[in-house]
Amino acid sequence: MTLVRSALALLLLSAPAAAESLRCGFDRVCDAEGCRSTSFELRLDWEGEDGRFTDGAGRSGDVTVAEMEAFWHFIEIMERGDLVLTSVAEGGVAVHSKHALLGGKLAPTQYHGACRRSGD
Amino acid sequence: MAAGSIRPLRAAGPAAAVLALCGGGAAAQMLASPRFVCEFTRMCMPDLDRCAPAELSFEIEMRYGVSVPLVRGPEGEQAAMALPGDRVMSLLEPLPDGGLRTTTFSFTGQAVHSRHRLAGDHLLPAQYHGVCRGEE
Repeated sequence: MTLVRSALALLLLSAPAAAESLRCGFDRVCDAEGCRSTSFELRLDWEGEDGRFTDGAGRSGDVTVAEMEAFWHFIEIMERGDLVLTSVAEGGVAVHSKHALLGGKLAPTQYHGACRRSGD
Repeated sequence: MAAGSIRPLRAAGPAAAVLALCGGGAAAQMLASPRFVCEFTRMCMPDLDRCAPAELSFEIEMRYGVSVPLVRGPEGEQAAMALPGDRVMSLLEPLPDGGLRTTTFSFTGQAVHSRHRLAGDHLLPAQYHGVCRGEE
């Protein structure tokens, strides 16, 4: 997995190493049951390609950060091969997709919301 | 939630060089099929607040020898990054606009495909549910 993280990091080219932080709120979610309103919060802190996330449920972990054209992408990769991808477009609109294994099955979920810089 | 100061600046990286570093691991060994056919029959779009039947299919050519899978679908051929795990395989496809498509499939065939891309200046997320099956 270290190799994978290192390879993802190469997507960044020469990343400036300034510490940055976003606070995100997602108010719509779709999953196997359909779409509905929700309230899901996520904080993203990173420096260069290395980041941490903390969600409103208290879950936290490492993310690899890729900044590509009009997007920031934050990728959490599990040893099992499943992943969580958060993308923030120019202007702050955000999508958070979970391809997570729950009970041995994939439980796909996608959230829609927005992010702002911490302190704004 | 306004976020006018958010403005990524960096250009897309040399994805092909990055992808060549990935692709090993337990899943690649277990998933011996050289080709997978993925079919998705349901799509959800959270920004539009709806899920609906869908028809999306593409092929994944694993190319274990060079470790750079190719995804062939209705929008052409795209090199991908393989993220093999011990339970499922995920692929990341960097797009020219900086967006990403990602597909995850399990050894039982269950699959999910998410799209994070722009349509004009509008973020257009979508998530598809379906299956990926190995073929000779």
